[in-house]
Amino acid sequence: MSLKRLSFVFFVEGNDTYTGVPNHRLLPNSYDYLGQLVGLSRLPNESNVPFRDRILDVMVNPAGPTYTGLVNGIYRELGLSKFDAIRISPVYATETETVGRSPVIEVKATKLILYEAWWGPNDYVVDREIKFYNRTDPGYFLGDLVNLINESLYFSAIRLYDDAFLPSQYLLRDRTVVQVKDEVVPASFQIRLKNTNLVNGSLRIRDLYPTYQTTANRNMSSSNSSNYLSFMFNVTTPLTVEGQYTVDTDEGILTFFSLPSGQGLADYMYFDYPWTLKASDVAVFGLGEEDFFENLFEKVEDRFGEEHLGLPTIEGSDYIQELYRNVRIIWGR
Amino acid sequence: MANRIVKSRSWATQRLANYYPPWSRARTDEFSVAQQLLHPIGNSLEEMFTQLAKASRNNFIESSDINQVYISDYFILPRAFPVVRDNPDEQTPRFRAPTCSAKYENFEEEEYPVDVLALDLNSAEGFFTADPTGIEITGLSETRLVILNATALADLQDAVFNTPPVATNLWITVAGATDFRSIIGTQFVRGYIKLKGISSKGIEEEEIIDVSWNRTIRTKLRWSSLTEVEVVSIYPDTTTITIEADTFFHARHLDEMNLFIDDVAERQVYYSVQQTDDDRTELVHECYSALNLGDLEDGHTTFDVVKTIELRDHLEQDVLITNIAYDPWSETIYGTDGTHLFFWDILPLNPSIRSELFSTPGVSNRIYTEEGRFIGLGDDMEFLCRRGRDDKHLSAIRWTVYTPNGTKYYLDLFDDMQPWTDPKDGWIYTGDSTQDLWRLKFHPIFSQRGVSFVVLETVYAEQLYEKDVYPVVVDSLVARGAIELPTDLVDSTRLSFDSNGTLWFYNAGTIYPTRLRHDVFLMDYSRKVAYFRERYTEVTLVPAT
Repeated sequence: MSLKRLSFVFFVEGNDTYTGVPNHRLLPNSYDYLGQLVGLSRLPNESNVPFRDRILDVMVNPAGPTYTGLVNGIYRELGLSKFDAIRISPVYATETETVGRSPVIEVKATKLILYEAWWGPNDYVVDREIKFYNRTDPGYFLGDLVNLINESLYFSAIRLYDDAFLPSQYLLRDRTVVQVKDEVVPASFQIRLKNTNLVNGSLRIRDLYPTYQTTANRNMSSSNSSNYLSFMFNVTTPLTVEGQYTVDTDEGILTFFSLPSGQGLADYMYFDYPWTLKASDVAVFGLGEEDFFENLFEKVEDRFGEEHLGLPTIEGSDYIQELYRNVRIIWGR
Repeated sequence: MANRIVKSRSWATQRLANYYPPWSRARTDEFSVAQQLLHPIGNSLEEMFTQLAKASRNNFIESSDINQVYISDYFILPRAFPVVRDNPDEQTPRFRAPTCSAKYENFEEEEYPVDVLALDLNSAEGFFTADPTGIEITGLSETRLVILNATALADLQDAVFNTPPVATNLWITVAGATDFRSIIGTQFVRGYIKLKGISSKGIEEEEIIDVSWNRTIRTKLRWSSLTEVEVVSIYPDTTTITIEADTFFHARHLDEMNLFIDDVAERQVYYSVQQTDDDRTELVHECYSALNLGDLEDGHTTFDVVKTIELRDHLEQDVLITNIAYDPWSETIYGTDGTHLFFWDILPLNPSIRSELFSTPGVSNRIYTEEGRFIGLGDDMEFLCRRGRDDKHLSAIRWTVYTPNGTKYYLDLFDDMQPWTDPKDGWIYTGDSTQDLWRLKFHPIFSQRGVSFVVLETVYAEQLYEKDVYPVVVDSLVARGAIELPTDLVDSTRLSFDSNGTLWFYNAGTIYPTRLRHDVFLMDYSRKVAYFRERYTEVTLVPAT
């Protein structure tokens, strides 16, 4: 249709019938003005409804220099979309307990990692990795990826996006845990955090002391830099000793033997299943991303058996050539 | 006559009159000659204020008019295109419009021919405010799957639920309920439906859906299967419940406001339709009243109709509308009778009628009614006399109706309406024991469109004469136009706009998104350019002869 419009056809049938293809022009209306206020202009032939949705999206998905910000900015400026791709929930053994000890899924640049147990960035047990970067990778298409996730004992997944042949590269980087910073907790025998299903070992509380302390004591202990509480988890035996405390990670409840002092700030992570993985119509890769970097350079083993990056692969040299042409970088310096 | 009465005084008149000095009668007396002269100016000023308020809505993204023209196709005709003057003898040229036909692509990229009409008013204003000329289906239709056929509450225990193919939101339709509340102990319990089953998470869950009127509601949870539906405080037992599922499992056809095909008749909106006499339709401006805030919160309100106006088609004929939708941007009501889509302007339903203009100044015996002054054709109304003075003896009373076509009727002793022939007709002489007369009720039937006047005249023994006048409006809205429905949409039962401006049709479980087409062209005769409201792949113009 657009090609037809580019060429202006005009011919006369007989003497009294004038037939042709009309040209068009945009008539700015109030949406163009509102778009200017947020720095968006109308795309060619874009009607009011999608343009309004893009204007509203500016504040919902802000653009920025981060990975998420780049994705948000690119898909919006190009009139593309961000949508729900996969819904993930862990497999439950009972009504509340999952089969995996602490099941987490992480989307990286080129692969999806299923953790049977994940307690922190450095403390995890991997169930399986599903690669989706190359066309030959098993999870390249979204439909295949969902099937592969469902093969795992610990997770079940539903595809929310209609197209099973969407490349999985379009998935946004994500991890199925929510991080909470600086939640204020009062001093009380029992403290209920705002969220349940905490990740074991992720809870840290600042400025809250397990027993009542004078100001002098508190200053002393903070100067000893031991003002973080570390917790015993899911202890069922009753507390007996002054200063003892415990936390129920499923319910998010802290219990103290004696009244603690001070008002604390809690940092923790929690699971919020079912989790929706989003995708957008743009795939953004960063050269700093380790698993993406691996695809650009061949691996070389040294004599100690350690792996290092070697020569660029064909794809890697393509990127380097592209960057040579477009970016003023002098490689090798 | 109706217009003269309805628009007699504008609220802007007093604003104008406030420029007079405070001691002047022009400022303080609304019946002064100066203010009567100011009324037309006040009316035009009021119109301007309204337009300004309407235009300012475009400053905000959520209230901006989604139907604004954003693109215009134009077709440059050759210089040799013959232009025919319609009025060669006059100075201001007027031209005969050429005939135009065109082809457009629908959403499936199939070409359709369409006639493009010349504007009545060949101006930019006529171009941008043109009425719709056609209707176009803009997407694939969707058919909802029935999870539970319409089942009466009494039979709900034995109901068998179908399973949706994928976990999805469900649509629950409640119909035929008359009461949505019960008292349990000392507390009011509002009607609700409790769904039990397996949700999309794969676990057993419950969802409670509040129901305070008959309508279709969408569940918040996605359901893989249903096992039980429990209904509380909805009566009677013959009330039916239908559960349907979308075939699409991404909710892409819904906008954020979840506006969708809603149930029609008892929707809690300002405008609604009701059928009268099986062949006419009336638009009702609804009002809900409640004794206290708690009742209002419970949704247990009494339903008062305050304003009724008859809807008629574009040929001023009676028409039976099955469904209406209100477009807030153009302030237009769209309605369908199954074969056509009609559209009406919304008239201001709050005109000021000054009955004081006709009554005796300082009248003490007033006409009293609880039913407002806007009623449907053929309806009757009950009037009472509210007595102002007890210290004086009443000697005679007369109820009269002045109908719009000039005939007068009076109320006789047997509460019947009689045509008024003699000026002395209709007086009911009361003796000294006249207390019963104060309870005299008047039930005139209004069978003519227009403004009727109900008049109450009273004469005291002291020869004091009083007259009170109560205008009653029987108004009708004539459709601005009508569009024939495409075959897929014929006999649609429901109709609604969403916030994207999409007009949805619902027909026996199948849902169609549509848009209104404006196949009109604006002709620039001097430059020989035709402008269009719609996009076309090809246009053909035949010059006028």
